[in-house]
Amino acid sequence: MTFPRTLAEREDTVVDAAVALRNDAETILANTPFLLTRCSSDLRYVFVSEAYAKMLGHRPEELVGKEIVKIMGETGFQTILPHIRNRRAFQ
Amino acid sequence: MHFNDVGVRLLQVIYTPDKDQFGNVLGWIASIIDITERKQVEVALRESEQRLRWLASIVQSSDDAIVSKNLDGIITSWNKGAERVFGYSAEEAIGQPITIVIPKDRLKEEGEILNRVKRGEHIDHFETIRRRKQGSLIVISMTVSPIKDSEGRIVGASKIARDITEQKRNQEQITTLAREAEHRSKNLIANVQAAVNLSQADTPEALKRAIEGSGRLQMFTRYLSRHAGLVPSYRPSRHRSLLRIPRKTKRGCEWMVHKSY
Repeated sequence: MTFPRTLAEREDTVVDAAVALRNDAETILANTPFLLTRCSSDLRYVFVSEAYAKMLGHRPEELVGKEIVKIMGETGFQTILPHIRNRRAFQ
Repeated sequence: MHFNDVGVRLLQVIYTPDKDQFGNVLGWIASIIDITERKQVEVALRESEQRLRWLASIVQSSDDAIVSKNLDGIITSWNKGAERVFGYSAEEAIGQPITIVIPKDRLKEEGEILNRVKRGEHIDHFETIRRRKQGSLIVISMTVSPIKDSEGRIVGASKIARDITEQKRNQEQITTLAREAEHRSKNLIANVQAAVNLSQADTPEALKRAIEGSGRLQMFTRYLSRHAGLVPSYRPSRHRSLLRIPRKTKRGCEWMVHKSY
């Protein structure tokens, strides 16, 4: 095992480790059988798991960036709205 | 929850705020469990349970004895009808061999029935004799069907039995009465025939026999009326002699005698 000698080398190592960790996390999240979504405060999908996209008959990349209301429709969106408002106010 | 592309899905959702490193809420994370299929299974199970309860109440309230047994001939269920027909309560019968209701001279039947059930055969309206708890014998009409498990294997038999003792007794009475009526009607015809023949006779002896026939005819008419419920009571003492001739008939006969001479 070799230790980074310079500060720049140390930074590179940390960044590499963080990237690897992020990749692992994304792989796990993307492939989990659980339905997971991460949504932004402007009411768009930021991340959807493979299982969630599959339930709706899409690929994850087809949903990411889309407005939730466009996917769910107005009726479905109204049912989640009270929950979202609560979470957005949770600061 | 409604979705444009797939319609309604039943979802359990846990919403968690999505915060940055400074604690600002950027959005939310939803962890979702799709319970659509589970709910459908629950609804189907509930409906199935209701149907079973409904069927069970029909079985329980039936007047017929409905009994099930396993392939070893051990009783596994016993409805109220079976309690009435055989005299054993469900507590007494369940767990006992079915032979508790089979008379000794018919024990062979049980083996034959079980063999047929094991072959998947259905036995329809089989009339036989069974023994009640009190020891009396009854005539039953029985239908036996195989019971299959969820994989289609035969695991037992269901028996539906109806006590037809009374019905059999009535049938026998009707047969006896019909035989009696046939016998008497033959006699009657013979008597009428004799009366006709003798009314043409020109001797007093021949006419006497015709009168006797007439007396029997009247008595038989009364007998039929009594059995048909037309005459409420019957006093045989008044009709002891077959030779007793009612006055009217006698007068008719006298007229016939007068005419003959």
